This record gives sequence, C-alpha cells and structure tokens, in this order.
Amino acid sequence: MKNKFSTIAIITFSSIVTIWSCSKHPVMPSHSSLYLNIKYLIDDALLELDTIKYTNEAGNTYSVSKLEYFISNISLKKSDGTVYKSKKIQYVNAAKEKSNQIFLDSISPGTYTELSFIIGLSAEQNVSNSLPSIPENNNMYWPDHMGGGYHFMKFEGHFNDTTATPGYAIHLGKTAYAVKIKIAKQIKLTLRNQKQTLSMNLNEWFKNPNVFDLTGGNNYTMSNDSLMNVISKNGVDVFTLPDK
Amino acid sequence: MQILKNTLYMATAVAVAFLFFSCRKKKADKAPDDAYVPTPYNIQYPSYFPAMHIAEDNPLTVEGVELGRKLYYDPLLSKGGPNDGKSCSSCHIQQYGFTLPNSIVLPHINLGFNSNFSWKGAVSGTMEDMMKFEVEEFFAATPANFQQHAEYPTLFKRVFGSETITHKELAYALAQFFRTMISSNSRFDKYLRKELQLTPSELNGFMIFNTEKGDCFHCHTVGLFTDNQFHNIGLDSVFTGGNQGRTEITGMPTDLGKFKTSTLRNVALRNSFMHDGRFTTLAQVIDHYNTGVKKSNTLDPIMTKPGKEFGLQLNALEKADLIAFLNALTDESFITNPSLSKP
Repeated sequence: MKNKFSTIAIITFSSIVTIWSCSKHPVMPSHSSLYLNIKYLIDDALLELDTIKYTNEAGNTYSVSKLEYFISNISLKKSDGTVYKSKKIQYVNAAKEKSNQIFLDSISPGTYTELSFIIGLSAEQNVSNSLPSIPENNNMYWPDHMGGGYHFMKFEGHFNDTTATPGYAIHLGKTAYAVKIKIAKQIKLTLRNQKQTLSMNLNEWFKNPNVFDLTGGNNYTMSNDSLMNVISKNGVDVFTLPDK
Repeated sequence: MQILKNTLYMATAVAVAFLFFSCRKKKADKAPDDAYVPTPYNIQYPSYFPAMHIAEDNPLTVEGVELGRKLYYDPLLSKGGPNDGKSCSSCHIQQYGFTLPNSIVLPHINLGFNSNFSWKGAVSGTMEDMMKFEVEEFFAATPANFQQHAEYPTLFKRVFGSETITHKELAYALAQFFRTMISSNSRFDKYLRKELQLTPSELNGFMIFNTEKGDCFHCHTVGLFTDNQFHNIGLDSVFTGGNQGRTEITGMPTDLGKFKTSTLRNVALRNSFMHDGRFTTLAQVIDHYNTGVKKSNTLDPIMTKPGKEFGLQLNALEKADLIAFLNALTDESFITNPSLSKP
C-alpha cells in the first residue's frame, strides 16, 4: 500500500515536471519598441486627397493626388550620446495607411531626446536595383540615364492657375537632395510598446527658407537641380512630433 | 526497501520516457500510398521584375500549370460549351503576344506581377481573384461540364487532391498557368543581360524613353513596362460613355479619363492602341504624346511639364528612334514558346 502510494506520487511529480518543461515560458522583454504613425496635415487640417482646397505660402490653391517617399536612416539619440540606429528603409504612400506605420524594435529603454531620419536614401543606399524588387520600390526608380538610384519623393497634384488647373509634380531624387530631418523631443521608452504620431505639414514644403510658387514654370522639379534644392531645404521642417 | 527503490527507478524511467516522447514533435500524418503529390514548379524571371505574389493556397505545380494551360485553350470553359463556346485563346492569340489583332483586348503578358486588371481596373487583387471573375462572370463556366468530362476529374485530383471541380479549382488552375506567361527575352532583355548590343537608334530611343525627353519611364516602369496604375494621358478633354475610364469603377470624379498603363512588352506586335483602339500604329501613338495631348482637370501631372504643355516636341529622327526601341521589346521566344501553346 505504501509502495503503491509512493509510485503514484512519483509519477504525478514526474508528470508535473514534464508538463512544466514542455510549456512555453513567458519571455520578459528586455527592449523597447516604437510605432511611428505618420499623419498628414495642411497647417491645422488633416489632408484630404484629390481636393483643390489648400493654400500654400505663395497663395497657390492646390490639391494632393499622390505622396510617396522613402524614410531611411532612422535614429534615436539619448542625452548621454547613446544612439539607436535602424536599418529600415520604409516606402511610404500617403494613400496606403499601412505604409505610414513605422515599427522600430530592439531599442534600449530610456529617455531619448532626438529623432532623426532621411526623407530619401543615403549615398550608399541610392543605387539602382539595390532595394528589394517590389512594385512600390521599382516604380520609384530614378533612371540610370539621369544618374540612377530612386525617387526620394513623388508629391503630385493640381493647382489653380489663372485660367486652368494644371498639374504639379514635385519629384525629388539624387543623393545631394535627400532631406535630413532632426527633431528634438523627449521620448521616454519603457519595456512596453509605445506609439508616437509623426506629423507632416505639407505646406512646409512650400516655405521656409524659400517660398515655392507652383506658377511660373515651377510645377515640375525632376531634372531641375535648383528646384530640387529649394524643396530639399524647405523639407527640413515638414515633420513634427506632436504630444498627442 | 528494495521494492521502494525498484519502484523509484521504474517511475523515473517512465517519466524520462514520457518526457522524451511528449517533447518530440509529432510526425505529420503519413500520406496514403495512393495520394498524388504534385511536383513543385520552379518559376523563373529576371531580377529586374518585382517579386511575383503567389497565393499560399495555390502554390505553382507542374501539374497545376499544365492543367491551367489545357483550360486556357478549352472552349468547354465557356457557358456555351465546346460547340459554340470560346476559350481564353480565342481572343488571346500567342503569335500576337496573347492579344487579338484589331482589337482593344489587353495582352496576357506578365500578369502574374500585376494587381490591377483590365483597362479600368474592373478587378483588383490576386491572380486568383482575376481568374474567379473570368470563370464565374466573363465565361460563366459550368463546373459540371468538367466534372462529367472523361479526363478532367483525374487531372484536377492530381493538382488539388480531389476530383470535385468548382469555379474555384478552375480559377486556381488558370491562375497557375497565367503566372508562367512571362515575357522576358526581348532584344532589350538580352541587352540588359549583356548578351547583345542594341543599335545606335535603339539606344537613342531608350535614352528618350528613360529621360525627361520622352518621359515614358514614369508610367511604363522599366522591367514590366507598366506601373500597374491608372492615368489620364490626355486622349480627351470631355469624357462620356466608355471614355470615363476608372471613374466607371470607382465612381470618383478624380478618376475621370484614367486607364491602366498597358505594358509595352510586345507592343510592336499590336495594331490597336489605347482603350478604344483609336490609334493603329506606334507612330500615331507617339504623335499623340508629341502634339495631341488634351487638357483636363485630371490630366496626369507628369504631362504638364513646363515647355512641354503641348507635347514632347520630338523631331522625326527622335520619333523613329523611340519606335526602334519599342520594337526591341518584342519577345520572339514568348510568342513561339511551346510550353505556352495549345497542348
């Protein structure tokens, strides 16, 4: 009777050990992750595609029909100089919500004081056929006959001219015109996933430091270095990190 | 005491064995001996094509592609059946690049890389979605015709593991074949592979195509020679009836006059261009871009470049060079490939 009891006890104990050993252990995260959700504004109003109702600094009334670009070289900096760098190159399309969510993981927890990234690609990245061959990347290619690499941005729409509504196509490419964004902001990252809105004010492309007037033949920038230069400089402050 | 020890040893042995067996991954249930396992199909295409989307529930197999090819050429697919019906191949003839001369029928070329189908984008999604539309609506196929056929139930079983044939299996088999209809062996492809040099005229045409001079590249992305999107290229300034384009599908006024960018691969085999076949030669097409663009509120912004508001302004030699380049996109091996021909 005693032996029988012992046997049952041992088997029960062994079974518990077995079940415990095969179960998945909850893994405690040791790193932070950050979701950047991109929103588009025209000053205080949320962007509505394909409606001619926005007014820029030059007084042009315009619409937005297409806004595609790359975000790359994302980094977060702590006040002690520690830097988190992401290798992610994200194709973003204002019309496709999913592409506007940038997920950054394996970030060391702590308080960061600066977010920086490039609208476009670095010199090493801006090489023809170097990005994964998917339709989105392929449709952004910058012809080899014009220097190769990729479009950094395609920003298109229509505007009211004196007698008509011609189109505009603000295309940015060539490594020199990559837009370097640097935003000072305290971002506290704990071991939980954190969300942060990243807002682009499209009217900022048209001002500061230079007023960009779509009329007068400025409505097409590709292969026009001086226009791309203006857009690149204006683009430095298109993004902000709002509190909410 | 000895009995207790023995019991302990035995219990430990049982626990270890239990631990071993319980932690092992279970082997998949063995397939019955009579089950047919289809042979995976190794699809190949150039690195300058985008990655092909292949549905997880419809992997390419040798047997599936072969069945799709048989269906492509079989009038049994049509509602009218074999006596008065039509097959895909009735309007998509291989020697013309899988289109029909003197018609607006879009060619079946590299569609496995597309996600928008037909001139106005009546169907968007996967190749399976497109084929379901063809089978269920365009052909209104009757699965029972295939179910009662002497060969088809066996062929479908070899592909899908069941003799039951529905619209879904018909569409999936066709989708497999469509994905193999790849054209990537033109003179231009051989030039990219460094197998030949293009003529000076073709090279100049490529330069015109691939720069702001002709500005063809923005929509006819090099590789597939389509961006798979919709554009108003200034064919009309007033849009009525079938000329309304993408608006007829989306209801959006901003889509007025927009049509899908058609591929330029094998374009020289055609004699009908644009959604309504209004042009019959490549020279007429280029003349449109050169001098015939009509203004409207939805005209593609790319086509309102300062200095070229009234067209590209190419001279006769430049137009000829551009046509020479377009001719270099003809793929002779595609239009004679026996694996795409009637079985």
